[in-house]
Amino acid sequence: MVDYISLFIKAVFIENMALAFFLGMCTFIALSKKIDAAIGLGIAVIVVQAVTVPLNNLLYTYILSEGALSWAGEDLADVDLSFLGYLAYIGVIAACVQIMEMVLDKYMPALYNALGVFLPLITVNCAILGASLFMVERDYTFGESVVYGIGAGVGWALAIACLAGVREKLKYSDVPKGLQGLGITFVSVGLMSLGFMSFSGISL
Amino acid sequence: MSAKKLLTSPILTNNPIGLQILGICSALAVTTSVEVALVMSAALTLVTAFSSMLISSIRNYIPSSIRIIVQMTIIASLVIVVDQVLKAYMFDLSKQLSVFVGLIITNCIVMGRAEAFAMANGPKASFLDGIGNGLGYSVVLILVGIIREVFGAG
Repeated sequence: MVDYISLFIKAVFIENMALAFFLGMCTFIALSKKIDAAIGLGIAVIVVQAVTVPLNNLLYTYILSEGALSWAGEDLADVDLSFLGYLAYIGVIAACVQIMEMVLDKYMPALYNALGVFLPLITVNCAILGASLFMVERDYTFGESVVYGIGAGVGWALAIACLAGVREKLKYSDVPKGLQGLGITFVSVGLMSLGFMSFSGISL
Repeated sequence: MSAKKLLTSPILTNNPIGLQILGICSALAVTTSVEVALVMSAALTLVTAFSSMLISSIRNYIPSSIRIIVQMTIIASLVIVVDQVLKAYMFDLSKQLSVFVGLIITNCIVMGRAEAFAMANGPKASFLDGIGNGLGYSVVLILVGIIREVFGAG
């Protein structure tokens, strides 16, 4: 249990997807103008991460990794399909997002309306694919991958919500002309990232 | 548009990173040294050029409702090729790049060019457009790489 908690803390703060690895930056910068939209997108990312990382973990352990197909018969025991990884993970992510969109549309229209616009964007968010690739690279077990998926999503959501808060306040401040718009946004992201770097000394 | 304009306009007047703010993730993450930045740029330029060309040549056969998945499949297959080549010939560098080779799949430049240019233009123009955008990305990546290597490593 302690392992899972420390993995969660690590995924949220120390290895924050957006601010320590710079993943999902395109959507991070483009959609952080308003807090409401940022929180909506953040929740969508948490849900998609929590589903796709464990799914990709199962896919990797039972189909793609070396010798994983041995359950299907002796002949397949030494097949190594790990080179198909990227194709499989992105397929799972695209399919998940599509299915989730349809399910939400049918059963939870309120949530669908809140998230609707952002769902398709999530397919091409590199934080999602990044989490799956990190999970494979670090050989997480199924339990760990569930915790890591949720943690990575929460970390990203936290970062985009914070940045949206900063940017909403910035609207009322007197920014020098040359820095207006994207310039000051990049500066704020850099400063936030510096803040999150201070967690990197913590070892759990 | 002329071939020359297709190649040069994304480098200066319409740079994908500097002006369209696409593909920032890898521009920030893999620019700690020039060597890594160079390999990443080459990989991305190749993937963008060939994916644009392939997608453009089958653009009339792709149903628009599943076009994203078709584009993803083509891009992912190309990235797998690049990844295998890197693993075979430059193992140390591919370890340094770790997940970022895989993340070319979700790089906004590749998807953006496929969606915005290749779906509406012929294969030859799309190929040149892909190379141009790849070069635009490379210029920024190498510049940032030089600055960061000098400041970061002394």
